[in-house]
Amino acid sequence: MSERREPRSFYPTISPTWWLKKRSYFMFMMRELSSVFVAAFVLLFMYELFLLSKGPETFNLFQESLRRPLFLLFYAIALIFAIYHTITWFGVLSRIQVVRIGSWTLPPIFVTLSAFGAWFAISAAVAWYFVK
Amino acid sequence: MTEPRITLEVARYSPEEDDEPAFQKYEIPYREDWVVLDALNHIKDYVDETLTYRWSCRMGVCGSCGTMVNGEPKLTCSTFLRDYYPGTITVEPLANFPVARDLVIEMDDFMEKLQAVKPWIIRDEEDEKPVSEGEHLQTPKQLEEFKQFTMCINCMLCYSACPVYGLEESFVGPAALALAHRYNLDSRDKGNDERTHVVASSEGIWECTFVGECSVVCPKHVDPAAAIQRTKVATTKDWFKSVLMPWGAKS
Repeated sequence: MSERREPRSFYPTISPTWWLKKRSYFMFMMRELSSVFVAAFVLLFMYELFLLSKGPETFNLFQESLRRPLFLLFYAIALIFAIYHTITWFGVLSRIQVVRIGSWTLPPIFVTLSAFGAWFAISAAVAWYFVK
Repeated sequence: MTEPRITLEVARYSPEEDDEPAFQKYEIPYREDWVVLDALNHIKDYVDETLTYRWSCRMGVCGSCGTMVNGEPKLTCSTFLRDYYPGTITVEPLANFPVARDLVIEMDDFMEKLQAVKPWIIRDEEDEKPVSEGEHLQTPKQLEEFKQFTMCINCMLCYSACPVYGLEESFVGPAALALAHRYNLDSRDKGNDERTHVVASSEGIWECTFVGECSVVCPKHVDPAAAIQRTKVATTKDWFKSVLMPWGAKS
């Protein structure tokens, strides 16, 4: 307690570590961070496409270098973040997009299931194409 | 048998004397059917009459008694002591707002933002009919479109849970944007264009990064996060329509 003065409201400040104080805030920040890894993966992929124009030797050389442990670790982290990003977004999709067919509103669970269904179907088709 | 007791640590702040809030401990009788508001009223009536806090209806309708209970935004009238007993309960003013005294926050910023989105039915003067012609009827289906968003009681718990509002005071915020969405969806309302410059501004829906905590803490299950994301979809559609079909863009 100090001496009396003119009344003055207290203005709280938010700590830079606010996102570590609650699990939901932390998971939100991880979702935001996942975009960085997804963007880095896309840039790398685009660079690979660019190298295709430089001929098979240059492309294959770079492909070989991608098999180094550091790149494999990056791919593993990017994959985990991409899956996490996808699951969290598809999980809330039905709250964002209300689907109406005529006057009938599609139940939210069907919106979510159709997103996950499409994701699994496309992933399976891509996997089948490369594995066959 | 000794009477069960519970400890409350309540944030105190005197605007004439203190530089920052400090906790004060109160040990009071524990009753299983008491909510935190009952405990605060007991302190005020029997222990410390200087404790300052807001409350009114005691039934989760007026939205006056929002505070941080153990770090979570809660209505003190709906938060039971038994959910925390025998642990200590901390009670603080709503986060992200200036503290006027003890648990009382300044709500001017919220009131200004609420007013800015014009949360009332706006009619086109040329479409208006005299009162003698009766009500503007609405079907249950039309009501269903926005009913969820009418449940907002302006308690500001959502602002308290929103880190975006905590970091960017200019953000219009969850409740105001949810109410704007509520009126935009109302079949009787024609005010979408009047609200757009606030709602779709950089301080409006686009400031929201969808943390989603506003919807988690909402005591009325309004889901402001969904309202904001749906408004993003609607305004994006409107923008594309205005670019692709400038002769008839109105939705």
